[in-house]
Amino acid sequence: MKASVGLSINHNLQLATEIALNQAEKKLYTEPTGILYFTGTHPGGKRVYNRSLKIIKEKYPNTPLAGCSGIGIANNQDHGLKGAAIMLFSGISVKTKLMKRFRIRTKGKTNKILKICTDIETRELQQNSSTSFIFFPPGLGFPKLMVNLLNHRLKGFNPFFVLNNRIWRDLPILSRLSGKLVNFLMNLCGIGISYSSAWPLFQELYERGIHYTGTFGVDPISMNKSYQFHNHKAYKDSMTFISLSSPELRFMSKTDTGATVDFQKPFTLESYLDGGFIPRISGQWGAESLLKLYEMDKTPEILEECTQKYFYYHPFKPLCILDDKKSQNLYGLSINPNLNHALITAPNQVAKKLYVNHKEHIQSYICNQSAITIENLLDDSLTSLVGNNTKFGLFFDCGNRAMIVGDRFQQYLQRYNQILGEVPFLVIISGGEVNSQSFPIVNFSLVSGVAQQLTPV
Amino acid sequence: MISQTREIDDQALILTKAISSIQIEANHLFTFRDVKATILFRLDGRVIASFYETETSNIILSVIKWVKEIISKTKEELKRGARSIKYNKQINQNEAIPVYFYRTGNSGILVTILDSRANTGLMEIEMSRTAKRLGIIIDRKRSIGG
Repeated sequence: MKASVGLSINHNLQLATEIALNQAEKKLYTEPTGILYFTGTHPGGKRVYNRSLKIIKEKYPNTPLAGCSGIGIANNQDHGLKGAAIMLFSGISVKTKLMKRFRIRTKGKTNKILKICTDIETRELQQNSSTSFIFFPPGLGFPKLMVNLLNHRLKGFNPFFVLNNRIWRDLPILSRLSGKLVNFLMNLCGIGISYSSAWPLFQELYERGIHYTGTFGVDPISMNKSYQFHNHKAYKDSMTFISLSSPELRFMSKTDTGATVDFQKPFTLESYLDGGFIPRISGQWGAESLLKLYEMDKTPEILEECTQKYFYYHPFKPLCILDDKKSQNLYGLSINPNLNHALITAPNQVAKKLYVNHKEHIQSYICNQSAITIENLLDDSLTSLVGNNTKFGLFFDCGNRAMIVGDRFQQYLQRYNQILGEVPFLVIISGGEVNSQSFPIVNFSLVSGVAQQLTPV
Repeated sequence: MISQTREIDDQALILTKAISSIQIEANHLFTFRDVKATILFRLDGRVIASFYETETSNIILSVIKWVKEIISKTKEELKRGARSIKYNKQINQNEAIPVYFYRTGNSGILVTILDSRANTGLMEIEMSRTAKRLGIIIDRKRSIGG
């Protein structure tokens, strides 16, 4: 078994793909049995990705391929926001599958995927090999309306005048109705924060003990779509997954957050709409009281800067939910300048639970993440996974954490190099990550997956 | 008459093959350095296959005894739908031994006793894989290839 990695940072995706593919081929020597392909975010939509995938298709027309577009990519040589990264495998049996438009009629598609996964796993088990799945579901989708294209010059115009009305907030029947409407639109057009569609699938896989990792594709230019790749073609907002199985390899994975819980800042929801909207927090509009919680209500200039920098959204500190098992589940809270509601990036299933049984079972607190805690966490999680028998590594890192690390990001990547040495690896900076070992964590985390050669003594 | 006996013989052959493959699977898990003992229980608490070092220390033997006491309680939890249960058995002030209970098929429980410093990440994957393979053998009552 062998794996090799190629990466090129370039604004021209076709050129980047060519260079990356050449790099990877040089190290592999043999014909690959599977390809993982990741890109940064490139303007131009599906056509741009398809053109670059054609280059791979010309060389390997029958090799299964999967991947997604992310915020950024990195490996031991380079890192950047635009470009292409390729990982080639040989000696691993690889299968890929695609579900188009995963957010619509999710239930049937989830059952279909479950059946495929269990079939693949039992077949491979009978041949004495172990299987791991990597999922690429559709990621964050904010509505186009919410990104104010006029850069807030027209202050009187608020695209969310309907949701900002008091009626929706104060009358429970109407708020339930509006919640359902938002949820429906979310599934139909990719509006809202829609981890919810992939949630039942991951829960079911976790309960069945099927090993998986996954990363949610995201497009930070528009914030309302993501691209997945399946066998030399790009698809918008679809679900692709790849199965890696080998008798000699064991795929290990781990999730870490590197966050410290601020127990002095507990957090309660008073009302909640499907799709991630929180109208009221502790007796006030969601946005207002969040600003108070973060102590930013008297410094509007920071808010303004944030708005300019991060796509008209204010990504804030993570919210930590401590569940029955006392494990940390981190989700992001953010504020949009047009909206009086706060936004939570937790899937509906979690946020509803938080709202209904908050006082009895589940507690939530504001969390702190800093560059130092994140670097410490990296050391801990990598050294526990990586050994002499490690064959390759795949790391899905949250985009928000990359923002927190900021200028020290290069230093942070050098730690990867020091620990992994000559093991081929890829770091994909994405918008949400999942792992079967610690199921409910989705945001602000690092999912590290490593293939280990088996040597029973 | 002859055909009947031949059928019975074939069935017996399949069953003996299945039993030996159960032994092979459980033994495969036991070959790992971190594993101190593997025991396969039937749901009613009877032992189907067991592997432990003959020169095992008193500590491991006492843990095995504790497992036998607790198996009826874990059985109820595994029946209800839990896939695996992990216990940390405290043996002295500074040391705790991880003990894993895995549901295997419809009618078995796989118990693995690990070393206190074992690589639990890798072992969890290996144990769940073995439990699934054993489950297939037990449910179908025939050996699987590979």
